[in-house]
Amino acid sequence: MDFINTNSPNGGHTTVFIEDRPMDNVEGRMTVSGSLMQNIGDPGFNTLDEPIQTTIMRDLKAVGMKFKHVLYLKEKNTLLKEWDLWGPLMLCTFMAMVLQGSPDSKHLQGDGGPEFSEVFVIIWIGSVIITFNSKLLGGTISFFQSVCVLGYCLLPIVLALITCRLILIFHQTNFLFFIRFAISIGSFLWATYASVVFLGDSQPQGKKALAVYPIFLFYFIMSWLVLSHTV
Amino acid sequence: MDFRALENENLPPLSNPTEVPLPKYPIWTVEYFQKYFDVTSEDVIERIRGALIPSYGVNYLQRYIRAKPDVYGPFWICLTLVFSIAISGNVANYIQVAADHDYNWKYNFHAVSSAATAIFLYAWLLPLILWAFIKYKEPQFSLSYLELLCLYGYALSIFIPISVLWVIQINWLQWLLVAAGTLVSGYVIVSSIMPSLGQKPFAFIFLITILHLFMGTGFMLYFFHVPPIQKS
Repeated sequence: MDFINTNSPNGGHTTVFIEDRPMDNVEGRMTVSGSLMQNIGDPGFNTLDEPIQTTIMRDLKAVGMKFKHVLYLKEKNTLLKEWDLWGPLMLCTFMAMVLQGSPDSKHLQGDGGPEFSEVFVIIWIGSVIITFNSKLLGGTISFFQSVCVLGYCLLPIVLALITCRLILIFHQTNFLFFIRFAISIGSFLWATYASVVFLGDSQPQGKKALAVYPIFLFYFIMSWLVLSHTV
Repeated sequence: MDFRALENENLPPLSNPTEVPLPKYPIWTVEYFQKYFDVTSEDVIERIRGALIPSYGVNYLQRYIRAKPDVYGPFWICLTLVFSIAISGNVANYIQVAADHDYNWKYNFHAVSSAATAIFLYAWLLPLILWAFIKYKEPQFSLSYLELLCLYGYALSIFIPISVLWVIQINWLQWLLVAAGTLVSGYVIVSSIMPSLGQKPFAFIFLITILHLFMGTGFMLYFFHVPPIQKS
């Protein structure tokens, strides 16, 4: 079997030729869905033939682009249309790994922090609850789009977590605490603002504040976890 | 029951009431539950304000909720209260520890789960039990579970600012706040339920008041009055 795909630049049709057959028997239309359409201009583009490295790099690049959009907030469509859950998974796993502590605060070994699974569950269940809330209020956004945006907008908080982690290496003073406090507040405002920019338009008139408030609460809690993480 | 209908007519409509009957949706769809979230931002703010600053002689349930009980308010007020209690409880604990010049402070994440259990049991399960109990004793009791839930949920909203103020470690101030919080929210709840209770409301009122006092005191003692950590 030999597949030759020709993507016409305007129509998006993919014509498939198969050896030994007259071409008018098998001519048809194949639509390739979703996130694989990035290299649509390339002739002979096929994900089956390319090395695995290329496939992974392409996905990583897509995730990286979305990270960039969260930080720059220039255009909204990439994050909403081509949703994926790889970025949220990475951010969530990273946060849960760094924030995890041992819950037993009575003994000296424990730091009273949340366990890995608790952070993980708070993030995922939290974004699911926020999404359901916006659907119940009559929002027009799809379920996974919203979960994707909420996950990607954790990026400022993850950056704050990394910075705070670095600050915690030094001997702690009131001044360093103040810096960590300011960083957490800043990342919280940034994350909230970014997700409101992405999700704000999907709510009906007069209910926008009701949909934004849970997002505010969610990122506030995440920033609190970042600030409280001291060990 | 007549005075209630009369009272309703004199009030301005809360939000745009739906004249056309809503289409029926099966229970597993999101649209089925949208009727419990059919409030606007102004409605919610108005309901919270009504619960924070109750005025004498106004039946809160009649004035604010009766048109359309919602689930949005009780749910997010309870969730906010869970985290405001957990976070300020931690801050209070930090202040107590820091006052002893012992900087070996550890935060207690698990205040979140205990606060969540306490608050959701109080605001969601208690109205259900109360509703079933009153319905069993007084069959003409006219309030629905949704209305009781809405009432309890919004009444708890006063504890959100109070939980922040509980951080201040002055004993008489903390008790004053307990008294103020339980009095205001208790008044809102009792004055709304009382007209529906029939001839002998006092046993129920007594029960509701005792539980409410117990809840307010419990929050303060459990989350904010922790004895300082023993120095090892």
